[in-house]
Amino acid sequence: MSSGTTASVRGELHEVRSGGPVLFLLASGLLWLLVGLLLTLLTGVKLQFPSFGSEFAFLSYGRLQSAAGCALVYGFAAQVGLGLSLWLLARLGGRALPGGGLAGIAAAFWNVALSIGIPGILGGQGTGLRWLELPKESVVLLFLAYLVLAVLGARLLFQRSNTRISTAQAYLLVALFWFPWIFSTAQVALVFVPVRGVLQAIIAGWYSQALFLGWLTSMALALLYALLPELSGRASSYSRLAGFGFWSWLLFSGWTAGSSLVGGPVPAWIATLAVASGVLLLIPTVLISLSLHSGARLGALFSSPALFLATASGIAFTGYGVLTALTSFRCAREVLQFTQFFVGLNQLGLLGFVGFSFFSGIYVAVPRILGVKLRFPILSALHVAGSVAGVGLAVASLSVGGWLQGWALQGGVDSVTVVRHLQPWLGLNFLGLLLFLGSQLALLANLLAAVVTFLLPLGKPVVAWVLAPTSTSGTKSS
Amino acid sequence: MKHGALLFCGVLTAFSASWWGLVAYPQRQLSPLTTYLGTNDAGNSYQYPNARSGEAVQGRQVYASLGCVACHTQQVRPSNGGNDIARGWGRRRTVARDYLNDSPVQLGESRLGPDLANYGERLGTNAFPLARLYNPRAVVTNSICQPLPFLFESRAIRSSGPATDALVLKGSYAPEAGHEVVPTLAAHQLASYLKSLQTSVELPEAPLPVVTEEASK
Ligand code: HEC
Repeated sequence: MSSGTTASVRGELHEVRSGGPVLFLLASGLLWLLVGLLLTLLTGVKLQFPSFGSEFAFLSYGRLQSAAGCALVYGFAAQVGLGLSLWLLARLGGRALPGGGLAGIAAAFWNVALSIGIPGILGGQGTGLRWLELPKESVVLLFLAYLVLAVLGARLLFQRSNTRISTAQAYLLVALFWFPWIFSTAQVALVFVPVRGVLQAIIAGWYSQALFLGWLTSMALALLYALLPELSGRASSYSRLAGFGFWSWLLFSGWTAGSSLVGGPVPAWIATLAVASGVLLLIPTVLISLSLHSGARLGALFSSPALFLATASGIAFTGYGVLTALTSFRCAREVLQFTQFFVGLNQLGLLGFVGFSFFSGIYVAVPRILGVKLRFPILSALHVAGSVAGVGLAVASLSVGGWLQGWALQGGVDSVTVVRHLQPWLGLNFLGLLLFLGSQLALLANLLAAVVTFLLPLGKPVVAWVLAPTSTSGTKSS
Repeated sequence: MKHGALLFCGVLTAFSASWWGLVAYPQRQLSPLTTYLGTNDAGNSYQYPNARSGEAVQGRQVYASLGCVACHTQQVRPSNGGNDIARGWGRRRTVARDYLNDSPVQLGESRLGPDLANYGERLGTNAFPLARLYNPRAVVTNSICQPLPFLFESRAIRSSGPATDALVLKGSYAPEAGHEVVPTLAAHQLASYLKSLQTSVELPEAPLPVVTEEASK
């Protein structure tokens, strides 16, 4: 690798100086992605062969599913999201990450918390509430680690060198403050001092919607707003649209919590509100989608993996928003409620929209931080193609399977038969996720090669020193 | 967006609105809910919901820790919002009061298996089929319900004779000769919890349907 090419990708100094903790967050996030996907695949095996590993309590379907969800949300999405958010804040604000090694330490604690928590779920300490299954000890660690990272991020935001806050920075502001708010509310009200009765279900629903639509979505959209114009070489001509999109998103996305409770044992207004806000969500979805895609050119799409992924993420976002709105209507809910359709929709949101956006960020951030280009375009191509095809297959199969399941349930078909008709679609979903998992190996290999390229020049003096036939080393080895 | 402070206030307002609306307000609305004291047609008074037995409460913990909620809901939708009642998962819709004593509440979001809100009622006076926990396929062909062999002990039959609660298993599920499969405490607790699941009690907010001649055919 010649120094000429490295200079062209070498980022600005503050990006590079923030690099250590960011790289650590990205790397550990990607490893948790593998863990989460493996656990998800195991649940898929159990749906075809329920007796697989059934002698072991830690391989129960329910525990595997909870552990997989937490690994994907808190291990992958949260960490990669935080890493890229800090990187983006440093870059947009023209400041280096403050706090010395503090960010790295917090990130390490985040991983310690998960390394206690995920095995804890498998061991039976889960709380039984969706995305809140992590046992108490690990929750406290997680929260403290987050606070440190968020305070550092907030400092980058408030000490930024630009006076005008960009759309991306606005979304990051939302993300930084939203998570501690919802996480502390949910943990206190559901785990530490549990509220009574169905209120638990209402708050748990509010939390999981807020976590996805508020927190993860904000981080993913921030990346898209920051990267798309740069990657496509065209500034969006709809910046006012982006502003309206931002505010309407903020306004409507917090109220869809009751959508999983339509017809459930909760006050009727909660479901009505969820239906209404679910439909209204179409407004920000359209506004944001238009402002994101306005600069798109089909021809340029294949020019870089980052651009392709960012565009795919935007499309997944549009799809997620539209499907959420359409399935808010009671007639759709009646059939689809409790089916695998929403499992598929979650995969579209988490792996498609959020995942692709984060991958795109990784393709931009890592080369800049290391000052090294990714060396194997073929691996990038494999990763992008496999990821997009994998998520596509996984989501499509559960969308179809979910409808079939819903109709069968409505028709009064017995559970065993419903499942038998669903199994081929679950199998396709399994294959999709397997493809997705496999393609992540290409990404990891590519990143590893970049890290090695980065380390080689640093390693040269060491290698030379070890190999040098000096008298001291000679006596030591004899 | 020029003004950071304005942006911050806007974001804060939006956040707190959804917090007040979906966390604080429901808490206010639902917290006065108490056990219902009523009188049935025969003139006897009753209260509902009754606290579950200690064994069933332990069983709820087992249920939550094994994640049965991944495939089983515990809620019956009203007859104008799904066919739960028509297919016999309950006689009336479930309401907030049904869950008053339960923590964690396991309403569930997925129905790969049947709803369990009234499983105890479906069992009626029958004992809970413990073999279903050991291996559901011993009871229902091709079931994908979760087998829980780790809640049972497979052991040689003791000299004092077989255990009274040893499972009666047939065919390929039967233990080898001279051995027996005995439920552990956790299996009994889980069974007791599942048997305690029933909601068919008249409440003012959720009356039981009047059984007509035709419907009871
Ligand atoms: C992978 C999904 C799945 C999981 C996890 C699961 N079940 Fe099931 N369950 C089913 C299916 C499918 C059926 C219907 C077939 C049958 O009766 O076995 C069922 C049926 C049942 C029934 C009989 C219901 C009836 O109306 O006859 C009970 C009781 C039950 N499950 C209890 C449990 C318990 C307790 C757990 C947690 C340890 C559990 N299930 C976990 C899928 C699941």
